[in-house]
Amino acid sequence: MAGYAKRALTFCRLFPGSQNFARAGAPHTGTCTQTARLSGGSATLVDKGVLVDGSQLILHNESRYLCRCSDCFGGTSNQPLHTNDYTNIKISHVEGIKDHFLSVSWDDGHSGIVPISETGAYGNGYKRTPSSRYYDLSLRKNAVQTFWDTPTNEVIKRFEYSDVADDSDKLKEFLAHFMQYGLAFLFNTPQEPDDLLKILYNLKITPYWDNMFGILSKVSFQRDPTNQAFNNQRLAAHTDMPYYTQTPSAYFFHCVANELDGGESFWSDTFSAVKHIRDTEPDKYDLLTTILVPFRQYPKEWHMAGRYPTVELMGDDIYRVRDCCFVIDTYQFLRDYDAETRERWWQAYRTLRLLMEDPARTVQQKLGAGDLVLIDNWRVQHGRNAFSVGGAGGRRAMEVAYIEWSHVQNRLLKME
Amino acid sequence: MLGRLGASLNALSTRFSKNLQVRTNSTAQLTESGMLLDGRQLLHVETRNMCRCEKCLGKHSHTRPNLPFQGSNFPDVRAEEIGRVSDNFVSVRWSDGHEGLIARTFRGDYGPEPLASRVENLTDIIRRRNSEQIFWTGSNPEEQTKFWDWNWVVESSDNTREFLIHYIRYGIGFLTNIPLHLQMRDIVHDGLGIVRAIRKTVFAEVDLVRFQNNPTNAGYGTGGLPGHTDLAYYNQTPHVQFFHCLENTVDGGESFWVDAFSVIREMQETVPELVERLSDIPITFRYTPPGTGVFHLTNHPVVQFDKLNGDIHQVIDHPWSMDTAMFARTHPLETRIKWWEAYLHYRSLIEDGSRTYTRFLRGGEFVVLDNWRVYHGRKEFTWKEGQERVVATSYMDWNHMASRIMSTEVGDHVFLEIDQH
Repeated sequence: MAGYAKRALTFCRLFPGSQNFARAGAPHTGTCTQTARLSGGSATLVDKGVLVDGSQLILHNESRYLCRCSDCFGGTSNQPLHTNDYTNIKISHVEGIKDHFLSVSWDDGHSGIVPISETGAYGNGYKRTPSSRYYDLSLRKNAVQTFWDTPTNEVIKRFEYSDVADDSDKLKEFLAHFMQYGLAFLFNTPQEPDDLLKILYNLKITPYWDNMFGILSKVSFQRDPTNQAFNNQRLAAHTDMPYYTQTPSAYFFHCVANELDGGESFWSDTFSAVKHIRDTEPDKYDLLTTILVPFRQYPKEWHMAGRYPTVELMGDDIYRVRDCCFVIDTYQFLRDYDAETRERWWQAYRTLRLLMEDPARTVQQKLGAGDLVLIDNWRVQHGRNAFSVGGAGGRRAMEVAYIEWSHVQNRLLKME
Repeated sequence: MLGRLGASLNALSTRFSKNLQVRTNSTAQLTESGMLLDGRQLLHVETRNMCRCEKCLGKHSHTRPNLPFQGSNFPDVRAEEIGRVSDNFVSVRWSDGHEGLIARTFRGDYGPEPLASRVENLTDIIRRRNSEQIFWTGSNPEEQTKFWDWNWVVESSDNTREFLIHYIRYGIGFLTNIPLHLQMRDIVHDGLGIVRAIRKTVFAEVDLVRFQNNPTNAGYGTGGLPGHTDLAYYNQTPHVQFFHCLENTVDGGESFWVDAFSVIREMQETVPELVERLSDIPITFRYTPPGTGVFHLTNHPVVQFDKLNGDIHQVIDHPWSMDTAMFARTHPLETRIKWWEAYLHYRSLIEDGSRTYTRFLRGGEFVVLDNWRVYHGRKEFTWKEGQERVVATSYMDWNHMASRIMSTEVGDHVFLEIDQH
């Protein structure tokens, strides 16, 4: 029997009156302040709802949505079985508290159980729930992220592929590191072309995200490049695909071969730069968070366009950065804003770019075959130095697979 | 005679020069802050960014390999001289020594027809500007319920575009007469020509929604599903949604749809303070079916607006995955009271039957839905042995659909006409 159904049955056995309370015709309590005490907790019925342990007030309608009895909550889906309108519902009686639940009756005639702890609300049998740090990292909360403006040893910490592939806890540690710093390095991964998909499969970080470059984007030199990544020039630090309405949040960057001169990769933390601007030049920060920058990418057979602020917030947290100078649609920008606004924005943008281009703020490495970097595309910018082509041979071959944040989160939080 | 000829030639030259000078003054002239081009003020840095020569804009990529605004490179670049002016371009020399050309027109910037026309005429449509959308209720207007014949839609690219533009305007588009042997990929990739389209989610590439005992999702039961949007617990909720009815022989189970933007617009006019609460207060959505190894949670406000123009941009509303327990834990009481007041009022409008378009979907019918705008639901149904209700669903990025509308045909190259300058 699934966890919830089992607990509901146990509860009803402990409180045999709870199921039949409605038939007894419980009075509507209105302003009643009935208090139930059992097993070390208290729940007091008050005007607005029920006050648990003197501090947590659950509104009447919230309590009804929260009912976890098997009539109301799917034991195999962990979803409510119905979503009725409980606007005017009221708790009529509070029976008692045991462990993680409060036994309650409502004036619609239903009796059930309301969770009063995380285990009660989410517990899936008796398996441990993910740590709060993992929760907060997966929600991209700045409080648990580490912004870096110099590449410390912790930022460039390397994880061994076989360790994370064989041990789920070590994989979670790797993913948590990625979410904390915005990037994480794996070494000694398989090195053949297309191995990246096998790596993702082994790590159980799927499904990956099919996009205009395919499931697996192969980055190597082209004579007539359809994207600047496919030439051999220096690429300034940038985030990928800002023109997508839903710009990809994370990607795996896998080195298959890197035998040519030059071509070092580098990364820098935009959140650190944005925070610096917020602290020192708030007017420029405002511009970066409010002015919508148009992006457009229109190579053969594709036409992608969108406009977004450079910096997006979630509450007060820095949440996402989109910055790819190659595809700023200046012509559209002229039509969207007056010259004065644009002038101020360009000054603010330049301030950001100067920070992003500062070598002191940059992690730089020449990746070797088998090196893999997981990058937060909403936070860490990447680029590469120019490299030579022609000559005695050798190749530079990188493969990229994009992943939705929710799928990385899933791998971090899910119970085995 | 030579003297008179020489004088004539001089006069001609002067006139030409005068004309050219007059033309240059009205078309392009340098200013302190940059350039006045066809009446538009461009900043110096913008002119440099807009250079369309092949050194500055990849011929095959249409992106800039060389960044004029690359930190310490090219600081304070200035346009110093204007040269030749043609219909679509202007030659410019900058203080960094570079000589190139910038576009005067859509055509110059993006390429010859029909691409330039699409950019000029369709940008607001693919941006989902409310001014280009048509908000609807159940009965008014009826255009949103029009069924498009599959064979006509796939007959030509222009027909496909017309159907997709209709979908953008109404947030919903119906197709009928789809051959029963066609699967989702056949319809979306091969038929509608939207390549790299289908987005895999926790429900795989194509989710077959049919009755299950012990369902791991409310959709797999027989109960009614009130209006909702899908995958609210995703950090990036999918945008375009496909419903392909494969078979439907049960009793009941009618599908219905509601235009949430129409509801929000009404609330903006009557109770704007409630709309503000729905857009200011994020709530948590969670999906953790036991034993499946799936754990998704995220925060979203129910309503989001475009920051630049205030357009209604997105709604996210999935009652089954709303994490009320987390809401009660993380938000102060006063906030929750206000939010519930707003949300319950909103839901009462969403659930208003007069706003709803209802239809019993038949096998071979296909719905394209804007999952950020139009709610879908179904009435409860009874299932007996031998009956089936099977709907295949998939999701797609907005940009892939928009690209299908805006781009040229597969195989057509679009090169800028700089050689004609």
